[in-house]
Amino acid sequence: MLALSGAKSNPKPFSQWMGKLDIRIKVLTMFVLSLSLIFLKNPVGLAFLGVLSTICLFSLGKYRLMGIIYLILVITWMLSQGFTMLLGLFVPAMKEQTVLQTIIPFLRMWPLINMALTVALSMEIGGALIALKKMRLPRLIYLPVMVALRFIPGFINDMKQLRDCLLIRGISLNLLALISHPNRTLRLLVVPMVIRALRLADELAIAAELKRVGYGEGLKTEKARLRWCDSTFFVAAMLALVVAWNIPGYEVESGMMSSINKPQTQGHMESGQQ
Amino acid sequence: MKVKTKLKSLFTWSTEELVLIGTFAALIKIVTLTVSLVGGGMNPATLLLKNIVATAMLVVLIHKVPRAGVLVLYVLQQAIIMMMLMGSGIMILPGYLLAAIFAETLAFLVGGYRNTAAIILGVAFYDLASRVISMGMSWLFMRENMALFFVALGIVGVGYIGCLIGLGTGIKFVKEFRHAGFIRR
Repeated sequence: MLALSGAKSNPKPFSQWMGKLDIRIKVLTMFVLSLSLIFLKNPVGLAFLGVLSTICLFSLGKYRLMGIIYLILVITWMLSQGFTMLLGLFVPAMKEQTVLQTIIPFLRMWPLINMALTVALSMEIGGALIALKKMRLPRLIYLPVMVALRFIPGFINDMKQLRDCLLIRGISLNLLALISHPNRTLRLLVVPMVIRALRLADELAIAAELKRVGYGEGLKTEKARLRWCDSTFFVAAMLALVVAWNIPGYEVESGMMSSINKPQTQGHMESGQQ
Repeated sequence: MKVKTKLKSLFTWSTEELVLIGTFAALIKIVTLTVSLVGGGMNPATLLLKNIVATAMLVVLIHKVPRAGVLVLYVLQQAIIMMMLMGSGIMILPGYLLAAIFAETLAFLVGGYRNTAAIILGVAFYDLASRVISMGMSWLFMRENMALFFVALGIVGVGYIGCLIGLGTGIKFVKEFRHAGFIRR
């Protein structure tokens, strides 16, 4: 019940500046970024936000993870390019899709993935829980969230144990097993997990009641760690959004049927005039 | 007076119920992620299996906590987890909440969560409505590249077939768990 008590679950301190920021500032920034990315269409502005968010993620020092994520993004973009070409054989309008049009959704995903990873990797579970309580959320919101967030790593460990158990029995969970015996795979995977979860939930509920976690009484773990004054990051992000919005760039018309008849240079000139 | 008491009971949840909802919200996220990883990414078999598992577990959860509002709470938990881990949860939350509220209303009109048919109908409707809303969001993000949108539409279609199969699988699981004594109602 260490996590439910809101105590520090990760003893390793975050040395990076990103880890020291208030979780609410990071979540708020991510929220505003997510919303603005829906409306932002300018590829240069999107790339600008992508670079800025990459710097944030870079500060955490997870270079290998960054490499893998970016590789996946590039592979996904290549797949989408391939699908566009394939569909172009059957739907003539698809042939009119330019490379720029196919790359814009990925430019939108790039800053979002960077920020999400930054928040997730720099999030300290204890701080997040205190933030949820401090936001005066009702018990029926924050209690399940606390349980879910804290016990994700536990479930992953259970999965590893389950996989080892199945390997001992000579059953491996892979794509071949999934296709050849979907029913068996589903049963072997899901039933033990649900039983484990049900037992865990029972134990946890009893422990929570005993510790009066549900009512938040008797807890003296709320340290003065939340600092709203760390809003420099939020203000900087807002300024970056404003700059990204005003960067002149290509205007890409939306919709499959709206083909781009204008050459790219014309787009440049028009945006330059603005 | 009765209405007031009923409304009050809607917002009064025991710790056991809340913990169960939180546990299942996390479990569904992890199991679907694991199925995706085991299945080697985005292929029809993995997509089907992933959705079968998620829907079956949702059916088990509602059987375990057969109370009005359980679907709405589950959606809220999922959205908060997604918001904190991926950042995109907050955008889909209003739509998903609306889908959950409609599904709850539908289940209530059919006979409430004490009735298995109502649970199945409610979950099926929720899955459909949430997918329609997701596709709307996808269109917002991918409006410059409609090819990608159509690919996503195909994927979501396959996923919904998985959800429909998952309803049957969920009932099977419930029978099994009831036999094992994990679900008493």
